[in-house]
Amino acid sequence: MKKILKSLFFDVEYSGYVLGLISLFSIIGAFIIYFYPDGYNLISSKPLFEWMYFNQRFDTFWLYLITLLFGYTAITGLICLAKDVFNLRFFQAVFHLTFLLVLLAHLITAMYGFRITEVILPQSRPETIITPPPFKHLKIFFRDAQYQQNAYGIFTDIRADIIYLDENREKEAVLSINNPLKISDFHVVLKDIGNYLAAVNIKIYDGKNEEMLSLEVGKTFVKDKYSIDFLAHDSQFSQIKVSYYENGNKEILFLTSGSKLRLSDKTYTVKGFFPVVVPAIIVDVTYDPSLMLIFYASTLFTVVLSVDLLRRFVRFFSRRNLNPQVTS
Amino acid sequence: MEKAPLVFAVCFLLYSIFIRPHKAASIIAMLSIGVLLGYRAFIYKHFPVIGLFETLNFFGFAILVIGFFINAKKPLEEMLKNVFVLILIGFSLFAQSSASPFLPDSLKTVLFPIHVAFSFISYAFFTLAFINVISQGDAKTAMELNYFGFAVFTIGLWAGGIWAFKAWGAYFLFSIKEIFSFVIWIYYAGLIHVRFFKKKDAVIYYGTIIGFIIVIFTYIGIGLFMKNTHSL
Repeated sequence: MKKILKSLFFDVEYSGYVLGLISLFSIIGAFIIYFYPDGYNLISSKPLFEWMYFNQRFDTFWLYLITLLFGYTAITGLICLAKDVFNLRFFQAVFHLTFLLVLLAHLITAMYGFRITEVILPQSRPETIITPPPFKHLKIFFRDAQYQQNAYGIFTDIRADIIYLDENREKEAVLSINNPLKISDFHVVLKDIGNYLAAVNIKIYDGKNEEMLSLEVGKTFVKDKYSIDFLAHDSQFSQIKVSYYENGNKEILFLTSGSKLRLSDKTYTVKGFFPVVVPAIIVDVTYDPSLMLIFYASTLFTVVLSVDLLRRFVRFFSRRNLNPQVTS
Repeated sequence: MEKAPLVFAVCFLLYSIFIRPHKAASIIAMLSIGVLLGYRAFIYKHFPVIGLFETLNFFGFAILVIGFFINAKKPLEEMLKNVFVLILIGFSLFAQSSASPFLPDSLKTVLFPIHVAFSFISYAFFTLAFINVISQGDAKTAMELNYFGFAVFTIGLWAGGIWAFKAWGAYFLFSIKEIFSFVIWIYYAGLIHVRFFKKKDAVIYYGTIIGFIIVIFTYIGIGLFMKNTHSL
């Protein structure tokens, strides 16, 4: 038993095969995510371990196995690091140390880190304040956006002026692509800009006069004794779906041009729909307490690996070209 | 017209494969592809690694350049290298070559060309290791090439991670392409430990072949045949 344990943790051969096993389970996981994406939609919105706790399904087995195997590689990595230090092997010691630091950073991220995607509509609407549950003190107001749209339909030079509340103090900032904004412990990243449906204006006719009924998306329209919620529309706006409340009765209505619409005690004819589309920004709000650790550890790993690469490539090149058997 | 240098390259590669294997043919093919890539970089004002057409050519170009420096030891190795590049270039002749002169904002960063170029250079190393293994079974050379590929891939992955965080808010997004990139890294990290194994030659031999299959699947398989948010 002692011999098995010793070879399990001290023999590099086992570590090599375990890394191969991690690859295998990752491939399985990649295909599971690809063919079953709905089950993994919110994987980043919670710390990974919390997500795993609340999603104990058979198809998540690979995450548990990879976590377990990384635990094993952490132990063997630590043993290898000790051996490297003892034998004064600089490059290997740095590789194992930084690998362990990256593993530690990922452990912290898996315990506490998460990321939420938000669509923020312009400031004129009260919904522009984002307060997702974990971000109680983070409020962002989207004030204005500048962008160009080229002939290919691509939005370029996107900039969004925002106001955010940082511990109850109002601050201004400009978000742009590839330029995350750090607000206290969070990073806010502007991902894209897009056109979003803000409201639908419905032209209605009572036989004498025409009126415009404006239904804002996500907001209840209230008048007299009734209220209307906009629910959905088809892509061509030839039909919209609303829910109509009056005297405690709820009714789902599908309206098309020419439909009869009874509002309170009056009947109208729907003459047409006019969607109101506004630009909105898509931001990611990220919390990752180990971000700097990952960055510095991976940078050190990459730099030392690059130096080692150069050193070994020069040696390899010299050896390889000493006796070239060029094909001719 | 834009594909003319590629036709030129294909002719020299065919000559090298079927008529007379000669290093000069590979060099001319390499220069032809280089001219095309340089031309596109000049015209479209971006590093030519966007889309299937450019990446196929960059991949082929990287194989020829690295192949030139590491110097094939056997005619079969030289020929297989040229066959592989011929497949890539031939494939690219049928790919759409037109490109938008406007880049999305997220691609306007120095991290993008670093990420993509280093990834394809590493693929070239892995491919040459594979060719080396099947042509002469030289485990030591294959091991070195795998190590170079791993180191270069790490640089690409590092740049990609930072770029992904800046552009999308996370360095890892659980997409199939990213998981496979992680697989390549961890797989080759395991493979470079094989030099400490007792029976290492067989493991290097089969390990290199499996690694190459993973690399090609990550590039072509996922990039072309599977829906994902990550580009090629």
